[in-house]
Amino acid sequence: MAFVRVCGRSEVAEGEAVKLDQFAIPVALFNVDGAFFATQDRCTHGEWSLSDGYLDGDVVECSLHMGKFCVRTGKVRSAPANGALRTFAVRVEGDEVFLDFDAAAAAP
Amino acid sequence: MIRDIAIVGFGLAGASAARSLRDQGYDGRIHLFGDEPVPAYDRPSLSKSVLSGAVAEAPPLLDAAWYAEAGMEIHAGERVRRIDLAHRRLHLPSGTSLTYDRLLLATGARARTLSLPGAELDGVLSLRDQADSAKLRSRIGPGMSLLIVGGGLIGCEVATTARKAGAEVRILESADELLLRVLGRRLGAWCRERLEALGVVVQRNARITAFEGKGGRARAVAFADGLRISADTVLISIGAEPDTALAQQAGLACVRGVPVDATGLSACPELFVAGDAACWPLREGGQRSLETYLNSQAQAATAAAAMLGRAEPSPQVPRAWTEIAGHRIQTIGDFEGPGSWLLRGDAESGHPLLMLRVHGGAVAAAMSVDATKDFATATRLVEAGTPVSLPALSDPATNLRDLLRARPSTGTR
Repeated sequence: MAFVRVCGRSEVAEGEAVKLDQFAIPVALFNVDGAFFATQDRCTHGEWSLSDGYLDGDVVECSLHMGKFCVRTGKVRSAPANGALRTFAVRVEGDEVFLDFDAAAAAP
Repeated sequence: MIRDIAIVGFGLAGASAARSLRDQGYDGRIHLFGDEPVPAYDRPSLSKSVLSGAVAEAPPLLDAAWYAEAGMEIHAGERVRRIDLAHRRLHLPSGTSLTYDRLLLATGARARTLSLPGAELDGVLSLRDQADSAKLRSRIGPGMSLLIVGGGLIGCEVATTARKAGAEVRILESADELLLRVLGRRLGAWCRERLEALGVVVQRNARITAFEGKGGRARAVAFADGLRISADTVLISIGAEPDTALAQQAGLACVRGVPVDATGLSACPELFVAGDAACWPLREGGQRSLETYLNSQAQAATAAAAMLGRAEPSPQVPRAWTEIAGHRIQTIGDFEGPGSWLLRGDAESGHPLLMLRVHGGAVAAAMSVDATKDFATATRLVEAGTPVSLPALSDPATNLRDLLRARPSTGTR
């Protein structure tokens, strides 16, 4: 489908995340040392928002049960989480961040 | 050579231990015994999403496919009758027995009961398993009334869910404030006010003397001062007791849990205990049954490693979370203890709020309301024992993560 602008680069600090509510499901947008990645916001394990989690490098730890996911790939990095996250393609152009809700992140 | 590991208790601790054993490369047999007819599920949702009906049943902790792939031998609904420690044997209801090399007891805790007249009446309930939650769920719709005896975590979570489902809810608490044991007076009072704003009636210093019924069904609760309140559904939520029946029967001395060392090892060299049933050493000293999700998980992983001969002592720091009146509350460490408390956040409205107990130049405990990110950082400060200064911590301009970065992390994670 199409990339849509979701925010400006400076709206998400490095090591932080924001929750995007304009899509069919909430999306978490992460800033990993200046690179942007997007996954579903809801943890696959518990009812918790991953944008509220703790981002360490490219791994986000859910602050509810401490399950960990790689935000680049959506893969589980630590139990108790046992299902991968849906990822979304993100593109940065100039100072703007764009996201395609219908496309998964490219394999790293 | 360890080829047969039996896990008695198929809740969070049991399932987590099974998974840890496989994650660590153990490829021998794993037998999982549980009282309930289903594999381990997410028990905290029994007072929240399952009770509200948002989900039909509690989410399983592990996929059915995982148990099959991992070759688990599942005995759900099979209640172990007796443990013979000397011969390393479990006696099963079928009359057969099973010999093990290592045994993990993960029998959890049972809801504490009230020994009052009428406690056996139909309509006087407790909440511990999926069947309990389903029974309660059928009784908390609009126009129904629920009387909750005990204003602890489960009582307050259920009050939230039932009130949102439209039921009339009244909490009877014997102490002079809700949640005193788990959250302390400040947060306890704050939660009570939030619950009252939702329309929950909170009665403190309540002295109940009996449940009264008609035709075997609960009809009213009677108080010491002679008053009565009509009630056809009563939830008793006055805490839990570690389930140590099997351990005691096997001859182990138990005091609110089976005493173990910081690897989960009991007084018997082949018997390990994890989760609510374990009386586990704490980092700040002492030992007790913690009855929390995160500590049960951590204990299970530690005990699994120890059963395989890779013991790494893991004294616990208590960690818990709850959702009350729509607010997310998280805690690490004991709120009672030496040092001084400082507050960050919106102390006026009470949220977002982060409370830190600072002792000996480090953060010993933290509690938060609707401040999950700051809490995640605070947990790292607590776990790593990062040196902090009171002025820096008290300064609202200080980014907590900068305090963590200021020192190389040396602690456990």
